[in-house]
Parts: sequence; structure tokens; C-alpha cells
Amino acid sequence: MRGQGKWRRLMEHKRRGLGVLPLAALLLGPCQASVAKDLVLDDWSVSGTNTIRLEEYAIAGDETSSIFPFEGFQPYDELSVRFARADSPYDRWRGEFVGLLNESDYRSPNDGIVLERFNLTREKGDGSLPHRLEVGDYFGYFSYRTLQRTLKGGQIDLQPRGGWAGERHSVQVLSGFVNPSYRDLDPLEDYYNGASWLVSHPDWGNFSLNGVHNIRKSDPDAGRSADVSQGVISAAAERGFTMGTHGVSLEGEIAGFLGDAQSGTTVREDERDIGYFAQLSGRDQGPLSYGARFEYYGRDFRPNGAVIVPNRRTYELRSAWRFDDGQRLSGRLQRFTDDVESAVSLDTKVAGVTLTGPLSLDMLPASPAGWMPRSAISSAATAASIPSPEPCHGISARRSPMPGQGGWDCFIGPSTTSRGRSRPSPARSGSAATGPSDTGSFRASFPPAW
Amino acid sequence: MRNGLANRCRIVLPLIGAAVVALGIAGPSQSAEFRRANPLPTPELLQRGAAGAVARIIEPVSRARVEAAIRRVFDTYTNMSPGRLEAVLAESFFDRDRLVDNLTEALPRDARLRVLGIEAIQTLQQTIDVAPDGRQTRISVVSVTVRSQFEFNDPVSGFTRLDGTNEYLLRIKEPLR
Repeated sequence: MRGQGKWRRLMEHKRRGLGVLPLAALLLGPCQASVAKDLVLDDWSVSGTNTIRLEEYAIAGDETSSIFPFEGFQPYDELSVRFARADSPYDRWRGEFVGLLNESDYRSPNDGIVLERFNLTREKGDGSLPHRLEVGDYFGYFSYRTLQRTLKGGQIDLQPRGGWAGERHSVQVLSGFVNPSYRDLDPLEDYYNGASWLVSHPDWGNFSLNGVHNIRKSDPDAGRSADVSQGVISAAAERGFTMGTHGVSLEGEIAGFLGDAQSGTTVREDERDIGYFAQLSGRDQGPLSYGARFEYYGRDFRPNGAVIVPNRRTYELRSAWRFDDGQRLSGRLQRFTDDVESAVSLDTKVAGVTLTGPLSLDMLPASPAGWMPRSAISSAATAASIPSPEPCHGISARRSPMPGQGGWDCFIGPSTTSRGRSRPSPARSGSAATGPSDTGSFRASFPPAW
Repeated sequence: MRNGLANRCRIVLPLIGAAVVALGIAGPSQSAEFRRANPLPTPELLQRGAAGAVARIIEPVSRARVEAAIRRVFDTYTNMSPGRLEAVLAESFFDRDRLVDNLTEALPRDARLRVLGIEAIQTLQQTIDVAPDGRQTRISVVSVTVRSQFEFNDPVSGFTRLDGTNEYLLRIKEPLR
């Protein structure tokens, strides 16, 4: 009955708003039908796809043990349209939208007609001030320590001509908010304004100044007890150079935070803190690559648009060697100090060696049953679907992160990967989409020797 | 016991979502941690023969390809294989090693990460990488919203599932010729 109700509502939506959708495909097609079409309308090039997916979920037995949270008929119809127009090689328009006619709890939390994504971009490179303007959904990205989010709103990228010494400039200004669709829009749930100035020079490298302001209103349901208003500014630089046969790159960024810092459900007002990182990475003309990295983020360095972990210090050394047969041997030494500005900090020291790459199963030792990767066993039964198993071995050792509770944890794991194996589509009617388990592993602990 | 396992899974689920955000930085340097220029097609650049350097009109990656990529990533999580997980994560992925270490450490050994539904997909950026031998690779940064759940068997309460919705940024490489 529930499924019939959904079907009726879906058809009502189609009659009301999207009668142009291919009803025949819905009635006659398979569980998933997709239709693509290209058009040229005057100077506009339009293309799109329409996908209809019909799924039925039925659970027998104990429902609390079911892997699927929703039962019944779960249909949806997705329409994706792209359009573009080029008035000249320097003057272009492009855009797309993704809309949904939904009655599936798995596809979207919203029923009915849902506009999920929309973007319109204008690029004009032949004017007095070349620029790219985006409205709708766009990628707001300045740096890891300031902003990396998909946003809804607008962004302009100004690229003025010329430069004093051959450098190129890019000035980005954006304003936007985070929301999964265009339903129930509330910009103040997570709203960003930002600007970034990038200078690129073929010899000197890249330099960037960034600033982002973020506002979030209080939301007890999301664990935020008060309004949040915060800002972060940063300066970043990167330069590559050659030392003998080695190509080396140096990169760094320093960022300052000012405003309300949210930590869990707590909001601390008017805090200031700092974060910075430096990194050297290089490789020779042969198989060797290496790198060193240092990071430090204060307790209250908590920009909401950043991807870093606050209150942490990191030291890292790494190196890798690639063999002619495609295998790669890499090693790392790392020391993480979490809660670095708290009364009790947590040190984690890691020493790891990993060997990865293709191996023939013939190279594996004549192993006892306990060591045989399970996929190798199952491949005998499904040889057609697993054409080329590629085992790899991983070995890593790490010290227990708890102070005073030293101990090493060693992981030695042979595993296999498979090329060309097709993955079952999402399970319906309660059948699990499980493939063969691919790992066999051995774990052991022994006293610390750091 | 149940709360302990559930809390660990709750911590790791958003960690994956947040950390995978770091996947999608496409640029001349894969280790770059701040933005790079995306040049506009200006008369000066095109007259210099630098057509390959300017931004192209984005050709969206197909939904089927993105879904396959997401399932591959989830397969790797589910199988808890550090070597395979490292192969999937981009070199510029923030906290790559800690995610791999924590997945093997913090989660129950029988935990499984399942895709329940793949929501909106959008190709955000696209560049063409030309190898010295002339081979071209299209590198796309794709945003995809995924509803997923952790499943594990709790010794006390039995089968347990924890679901959540996260946005992932994928860098998808497609050979052009």
C-alpha cells in the first residue's frame, strides 16, 4: 500500500510539473533507465540526461537487524541539464542544473520536486578586466587553513592583465552558504564571505593572501549553543627549484584566527589563535621521492571552512622508492601531539614501512590456510569475475598513544585487489551487496622500543 | 560497550566525510595546499599558443562513473585494507596517514561501511594534464553527497547501524586518448 501511495504521488508530480519527462521509459524501462539528449538552440548548446530508478525494498524477519532503514517502493526521477554558449573564444557562458522528482528516502530527504544543484558561469577574457563570474553552486577554495567548501551563492575571479615583472594576478571574491539543496534555505546556518589574492610567477612561484569570514547562528539541535562569528586570514607561498638532479618544492602558510571558536557544543567568544605549516617535498629524476612537514594549530584555531585539526602539532619525515616492476617501498616517521595547548597532551609516534604494488600470486609463500587471502580462495569459485588478483603487503608499527601505556602494534597484512571486477548494484529486496572479503591479516603486539 | 563502539563509529563517519574533502585539489602540484590560478581565455594567452593552459568548458563526469568511484572508495573502507586505502586517497589528502591508522585501530574488525544512497553530483573543476608522450588525462574535481551507514555487530545489542550524510570531493582522472 505504501508503495502504491508513493507511485500515485510520483505520477501526480509528473502531471503537475514535469509532464515532459519520458513516461514511456518509466513504464517500459528497466529498474534504472537513463536518457541522454544533445540539442543546439540558436547559439546555445544544450545537453542533458534523465534517469529514472525504481527500487523495492522488502524485509523479512527481524526488521531491527535489517541493513536497510527504509522499506517499500522507492522511485525517483533525476533530470540533469547542461547548457553552454560561446560568443567568441574569450566570451563564454555555461551552466547546469540537477533537479529531482523524488519519492525515495534513499535518494533525498526531501520528497517531490527538488532542485539540488544549479550553476551559471560567465567567462569574459577580452574585456578591460578579464573575469569569471559564477552564481549558484560553486567550489569555494582558498587554502586548507581558510576555506574549502562547496557553496551556494556567487563568486567572481578577476584576472587583470599585465604585471610588473611577468607575474599573473587572480583576485577572487565570494559570498555563499552551505545547504544540500535549494529547499528550506537558511543562509545563516553556515554563511561565508571571503577574498583571495593570488600572484603567480613562472620563476618566483605562487603567493596568496586570503581572508574568510563565517557566520553560524545558534542551533541547539546541531550542538551549537550560541551564534558564531569568526574570521581567518592567511598568507601562503610555494616555490619550486632544482638542486642538481632533484626537483624540490617548498610550501608554507601562516594563518590567524579571530572570533568565536566552537569546540563540541561549547562556543568560546572573541578568541585569537594561530596556525601554520611548512612543507618540503622533492624527487630526483629516478625512483626516489621524499618530504618533510611541520604543522602547528592552536587550541582556538578553528576556522569552520578549513580542513585542519585544531590543537595539534605534527612533525613528519617520509621517503619512497619506486621499483621498476611497479612496486613502491615507502617509509615514514611521524610525531603527532594532540591537545598540544591543553593541560594534558597526547603524543603519538608512528614509524611505518609499506610495500605496495602488483605481485603475482605465485610469489606468495606456500602459505598455510590461515595466511591465504580469502579472496584468493574465493577467486577459485569466481575466476571469471576476478581476472587479475594483485596482492600487496603492508607492514606498519605504531606506538600506543596513551602515555605510560607503551606498546607496539604491528600490522602485517597480505591483501589482494582485483581489476575489472564489477560491483553489484545497490541491493534491493534485502539482498546484501557483498563481495568476497579481500583481506587476511596478522596482528601482534610487543613492548616499546622507541 | 555499545556506546563505546557507537561513539567511535560516530567519530569516524564525519571524519571520513570531512577529511575526504581534502581529496579534490586538482592543480599543477598535487601537494599544493592553497589555490592555483585557473587562467581565463584571453587574446594574449591564445595568441601565445597557450590554449592548453586556459580553463576549458567543463564536461561533467557521468553519474555512472562517479557512483563507481564512490563504491570503490567505500569498498576500500569496508575491507579495512591500509594499502588499498592509501592507493585511493590523494597525496594531498589532509591527515591521510592518521585516517588510515585510525580506521584499522578505532573500528570493530567486522565494521562495514555501506552506501545507502548517492545524492547530488556536480563537477566543480576540470583540467587537462598532458604527459611528455602526448597522452592527455582529464582531471575533474567532483562533489558528491552520499548517505551511508556503518554496520557492526555489538556484543551486547547485536547488529547496529549508524547512518549519516556527507559530502565527498573526488578527483577523477580519465584518459582522453
